[in-house]
Amino acid sequence: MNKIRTLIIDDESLARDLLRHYLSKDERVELIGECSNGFEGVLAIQEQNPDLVFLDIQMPKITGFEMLELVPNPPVIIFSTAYDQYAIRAFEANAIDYLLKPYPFERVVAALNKAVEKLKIKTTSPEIEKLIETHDEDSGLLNRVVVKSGRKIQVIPVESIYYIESQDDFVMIYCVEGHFMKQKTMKFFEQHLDEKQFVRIHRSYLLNLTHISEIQQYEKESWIVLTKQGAKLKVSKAGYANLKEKLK
Amino acid sequence: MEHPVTANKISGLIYWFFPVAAGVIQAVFNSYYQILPVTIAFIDGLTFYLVLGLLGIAVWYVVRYNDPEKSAVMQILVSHIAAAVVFTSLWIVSSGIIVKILINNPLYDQYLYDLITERIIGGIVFYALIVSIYYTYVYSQHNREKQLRESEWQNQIRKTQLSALKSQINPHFLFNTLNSIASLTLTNPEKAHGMVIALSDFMRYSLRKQQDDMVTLEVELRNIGLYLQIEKIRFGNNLLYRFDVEEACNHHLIPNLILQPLFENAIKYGVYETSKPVEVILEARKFPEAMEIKVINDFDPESVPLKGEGVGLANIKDRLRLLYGSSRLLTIESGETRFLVTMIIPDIAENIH
Repeated sequence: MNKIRTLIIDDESLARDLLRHYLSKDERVELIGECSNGFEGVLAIQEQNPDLVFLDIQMPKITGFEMLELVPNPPVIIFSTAYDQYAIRAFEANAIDYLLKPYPFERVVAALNKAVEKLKIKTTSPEIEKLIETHDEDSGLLNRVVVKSGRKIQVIPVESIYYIESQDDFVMIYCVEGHFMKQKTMKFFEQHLDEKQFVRIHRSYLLNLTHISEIQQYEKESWIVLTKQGAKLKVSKAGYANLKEKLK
Repeated sequence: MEHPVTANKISGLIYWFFPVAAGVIQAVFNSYYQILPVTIAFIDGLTFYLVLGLLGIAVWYVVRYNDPEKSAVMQILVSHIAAAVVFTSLWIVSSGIIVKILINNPLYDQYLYDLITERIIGGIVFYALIVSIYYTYVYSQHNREKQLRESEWQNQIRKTQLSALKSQINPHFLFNTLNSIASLTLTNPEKAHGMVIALSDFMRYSLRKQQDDMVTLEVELRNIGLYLQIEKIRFGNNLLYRFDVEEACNHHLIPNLILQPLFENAIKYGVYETSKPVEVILEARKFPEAMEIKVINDFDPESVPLKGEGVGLANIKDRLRLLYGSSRLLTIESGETRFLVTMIIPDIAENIH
């Protein structure tokens, strides 16, 4: 059997040292790289295509979870963290194990055993993708959104989002920083952005109220919103009712 | 404060029992000794004491507006003497008129005229009696409120201190540190040794200091130093720190562990969120009657905090308010790349128990 090509992503060098030490004792593992933050992690996963990633959650700029959102076909993930409150979320993010720091070598071996099993039948089933999506529902309001265009990763504060447009199975986020595609549904953003600030004005648009400049009626039962940046967005009848309610 | 008689049915019943009973007793006495005919005796007794009861309700307001905690003794005395005169004359005149309307009997007129002095004295005695009952009630109410407020106050102090301490030994800090130690035992046992000792001292201070309220700045900073020393092993050169303390501040008393959350924030939003070096600076200056402490840290302007900040800061604000009685002792300024917290510690704490 080929060795498991493994990547470590953790911001603390001492934590990487320990994990490297553990992995060096297991012959099934080939360590192909180490990253100290999520930005490096995204690139390393895309360029080196590892089988397995040991991933920390709390890291500078973007968290381990946010990092996974940017990787279209993530490898097998084992979380390695001091935070025990994310365990459920971790498993639903398709992780096969969740190691709580500090952990012993035996615990790493057990996790590697699971990884070996998983790699034998490795395909991400659509059901699991669904699970990630549904789980997201109870993880609270977003303060920021992480996106990627080409090699560049952007962390967008939600205040700087102008509006979100739904496309088939993804959305386009228009914001101060430009516009970015994100593999999430409109429903997700509707649930995770502050409803006092973001209003669904149309099947295709979720609008940030602070960026409205004008609302025009152009036909009976059909309106247009002009944003401060000059975009024109259609407003449906239901959307107009929502908008009126929020602007009261 | 609500009127004790009209506050509820039971207190009303108890109150009215006394004038009715007194009226009946007087009527029975007057009939038994044949001073008055039975009907007249009862009309007289009940009228006088029911009117007394009505006037007694009004006396409450004289008591309410003559609070011994707020007004001067002379003023209270004068208003009560005036009120007693009004009370007694109103009582005798109005009761007398009512009885006269009900039964126009010269025998009764004579009776009332003969006993007028006794009734005047009676009126003043009743007034004094009613007033003293009301004052007893007011006093007991005041006491109860005071006790309630006091226990609430104590609770709040305790709660704030507790939550301050809870944030103190942050489990993530603890487990990440233990993980770093686990790592160092393999690669650098000597450093691991130093870290275990720093962590032990830090934890001992945090646990023991739950008992004392105030410590000197010097002692508090020694503990912050341990904390920073531990974090520095974890983050290496990414964490720089400097204390700039005036000599006079070293022995100034501050609430224990009040600086800890500031440094935790500085590290959380500064060091944890960037891969560049971050400097945390503490400055302490002595002013007349107070000491000023500034904690400054840089942060990466590009980082977007995951969750809103401020719980730790609100906590400190609460504690300062409880101890010094002012909510303006903590100010926060957030610049483009610097975060500055200024804390004023007055020389004397108001509520140190």
